[in-house]
Amino acid sequence: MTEAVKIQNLSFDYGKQPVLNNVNFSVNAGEMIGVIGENGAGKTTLLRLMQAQLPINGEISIFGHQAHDKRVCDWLGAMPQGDLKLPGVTVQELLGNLSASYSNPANIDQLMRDNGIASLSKKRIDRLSGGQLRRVTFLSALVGQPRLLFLDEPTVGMDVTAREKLWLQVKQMQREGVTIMITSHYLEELQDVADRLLILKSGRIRFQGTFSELQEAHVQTLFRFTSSLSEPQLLQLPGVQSVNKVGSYWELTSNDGDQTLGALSRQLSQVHELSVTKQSLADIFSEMMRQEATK
Amino acid sequence: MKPFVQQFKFDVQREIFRNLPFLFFSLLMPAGFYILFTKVMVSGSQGEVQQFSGSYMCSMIVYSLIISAFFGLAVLLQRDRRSGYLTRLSQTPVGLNAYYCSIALCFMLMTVLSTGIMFALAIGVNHLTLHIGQMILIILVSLIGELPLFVVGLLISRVGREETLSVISNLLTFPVAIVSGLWWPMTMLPQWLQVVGTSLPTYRLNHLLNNIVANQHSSGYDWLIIASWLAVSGLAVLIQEVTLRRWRFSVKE
Repeated sequence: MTEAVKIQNLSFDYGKQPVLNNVNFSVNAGEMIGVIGENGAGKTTLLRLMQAQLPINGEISIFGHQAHDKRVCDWLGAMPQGDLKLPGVTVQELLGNLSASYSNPANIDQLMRDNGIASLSKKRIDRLSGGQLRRVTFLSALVGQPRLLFLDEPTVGMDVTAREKLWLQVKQMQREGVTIMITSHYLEELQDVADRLLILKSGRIRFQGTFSELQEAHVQTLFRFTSSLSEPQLLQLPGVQSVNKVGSYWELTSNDGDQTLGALSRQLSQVHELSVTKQSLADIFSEMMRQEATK
Repeated sequence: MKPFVQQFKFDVQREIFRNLPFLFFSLLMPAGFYILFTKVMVSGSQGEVQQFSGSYMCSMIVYSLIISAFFGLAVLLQRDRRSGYLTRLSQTPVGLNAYYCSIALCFMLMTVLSTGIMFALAIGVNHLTLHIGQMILIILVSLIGELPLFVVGLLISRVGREETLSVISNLLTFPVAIVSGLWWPMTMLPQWLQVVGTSLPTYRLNHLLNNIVANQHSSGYDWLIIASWLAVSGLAVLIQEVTLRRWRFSVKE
């Protein structure tokens, strides 16, 4: 499969403050990858480096070309976190102006129709609502018919309907072969659309893989019950990571929920009021961030 | 060429046709002052009045260029940068070259417009005699002589906040206009201020334009001062660019 993006040994710092530290990953053509991390994790810097907007220390290859290569600009589309608040021009004029710089520009009228904003075409940019402006900023990333699309927290400020429309459009673009990288704070949102996930923490990649791989590698099951079993006995159960006594209840965390549940079932006479909770992806993400913070 | 033509059409539309405050301050206000000072608040013999109407036309042309540079250009560049438009353009295959060429052409067009309005008023209202050669020369000298002003406009456009830029633009425009003798004769100013005023490119440009109106040869010293200002302001922009680049990469956004 063709590699759309290949990043090797990429580091970046703002003066004395390191932002990215020896980052390595690749994205296949046509893949949609989510990049998640807390504020300041380096997500936006990573996207800016891939657009050669910052000095590159390491290797960034886009469809086999260096990120600095001018030809690469023709293949990229980027939706930044901030909106294009240019006063004095209409939506159609702004999108038309940007599209004129590309060798294979999109049909602006068609683009606006497909995205449900044809009615805004004659409206001035400075008279749009926040959500409308966000959608126009999204379209501004599509005017050159990109092969690789960067979306930096695309749904911030959008209402539910607008979000749904945006994700539909993004999925359609992926079906048409566009490679997409999305940064977000919302893991659940990415889970619905992205093929793979990249978790950044303090400039390092903490995880890269599919959502099921993340779940398999990190998910924990929480058991809560009353029992006459002792702590050493509970610790010997298969998969058990930790045992805590909270009031009259035991709380076990297990990295192999099925095995632990099987073992507890065999001692049902000594286990009462059992409840089982599986960690959500959001819990896993929070746990990863906490672990890193306490290191 | 196509991206440049498209960019120019885009910029003319938003900067000239849809920018009423800019049109008012850089075109209509100097024109209004010209009418006020040459038709209402003027006295003397007919020859003196004619001479004053020619001289004041030059002053108001220069004043219009100051407004275009310190308000028009500086505000436009700052707004385009702050709105994310420049960053977005820089991501396109064409980059920013077409944009900067288009902006330069737009402001040259504004210069031609403002001088044209002044010619129309001077000839039509004050019956000043100006030959076509003089008019062309005034336009050409204005286009070259305004360069240091536009470089200073570029320099001040890099300040971070809109409010700060507004203060700087006001602090520059009116003192420069007064000290250069554009509103009142230089002789009304203290001696030390006259020394400052005569060293400004605006005074020198006004002097050059007055020489054209009076059919006199232009002074090499005027050009030397203007060229010096251009060199110094250009150097300041370079230093600013290097400093800002370093700062941007040393401060997390």
